[in-house]
Amino acid sequence: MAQLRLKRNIQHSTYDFITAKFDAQWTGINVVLTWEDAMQAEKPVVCILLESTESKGKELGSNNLFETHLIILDIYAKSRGQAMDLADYIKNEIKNGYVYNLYSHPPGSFESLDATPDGRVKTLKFLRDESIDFGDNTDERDKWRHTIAYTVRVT
Amino acid sequence: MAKRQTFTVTVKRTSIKGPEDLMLEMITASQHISEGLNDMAHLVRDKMRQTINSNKRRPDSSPKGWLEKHIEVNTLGLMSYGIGNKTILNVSAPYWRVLNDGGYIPLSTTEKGVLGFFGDGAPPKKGGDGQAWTYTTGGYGPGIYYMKPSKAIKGIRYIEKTQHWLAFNWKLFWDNRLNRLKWAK
Repeated sequence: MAQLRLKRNIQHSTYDFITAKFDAQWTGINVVLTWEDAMQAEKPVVCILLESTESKGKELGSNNLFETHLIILDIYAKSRGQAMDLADYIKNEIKNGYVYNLYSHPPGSFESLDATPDGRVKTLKFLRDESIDFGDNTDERDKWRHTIAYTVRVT
Repeated sequence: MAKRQTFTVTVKRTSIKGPEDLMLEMITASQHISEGLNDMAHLVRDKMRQTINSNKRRPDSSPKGWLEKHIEVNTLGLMSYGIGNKTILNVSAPYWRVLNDGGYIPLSTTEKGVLGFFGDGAPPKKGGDGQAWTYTTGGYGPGIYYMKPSKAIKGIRYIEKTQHWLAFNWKLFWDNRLNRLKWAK
């Protein structure tokens, strides 16, 4: 049974959490995990990327690591208002953290993932929450973009 | 009934003799903080430059490290520093924003393209990704052509990655610095 590791577990946990929230309260929002998919999917799109990890020794006498991860949520909306609403909604939902799952492929299948809760993704700090504006000469895909950057750790 | 006891407590100031000494201590401490912030600002600048450099898709064309070169420490006050000046970057490396966030800036209707050449000037081979682009001025000619960017680029997020690094290392930096000062005394 192939298991996913920490970074992908965090990314998929974030995906599952946000997707479940959207399914309950929004319609038609595409949530993706790669930039390439974000370029292809129909707007509105929310792209979840785990961009970097910082590590240091957790404590004296232990080889365990203390790690924090940078997650960037790129929102490609259909209007400025929708981008702002989505950003506020997502930020409000993720600020308290969410369930951290261990993911694994069931035997003989690489199409689906089994999730087992194994802690929490704790939101540490919001680094950025702003619209992305390249000026007047902007491609259709880049119109009404918004980005949220935040750091997390698994507890 | 408990017997009442009387104690005499004597408080002695040993290291600080008066307000002037306290003032001196505060000035010394603020100088240490100011020096520390200055050092930290330069570390952050180096980290940002390194992040840009290590995420490059194409090798440097001439001039080398153009964006990195323009990311400098700006002193905003005695204890306030900024990394990179937007006004300077908007003129010298206007692509700084799209390189960070990713996206596509189309050419305006009046622009023919960006004049220059890939690699050594020979037409790029199919699938020959990774050649440096060299900008030229003057006119169109043999080996020099108009390149029309057509694809969006993935942002390398050098600003957020640097912020993350700073947030992670901030406490460690000051712990180390205070320990060094303590042992130097």
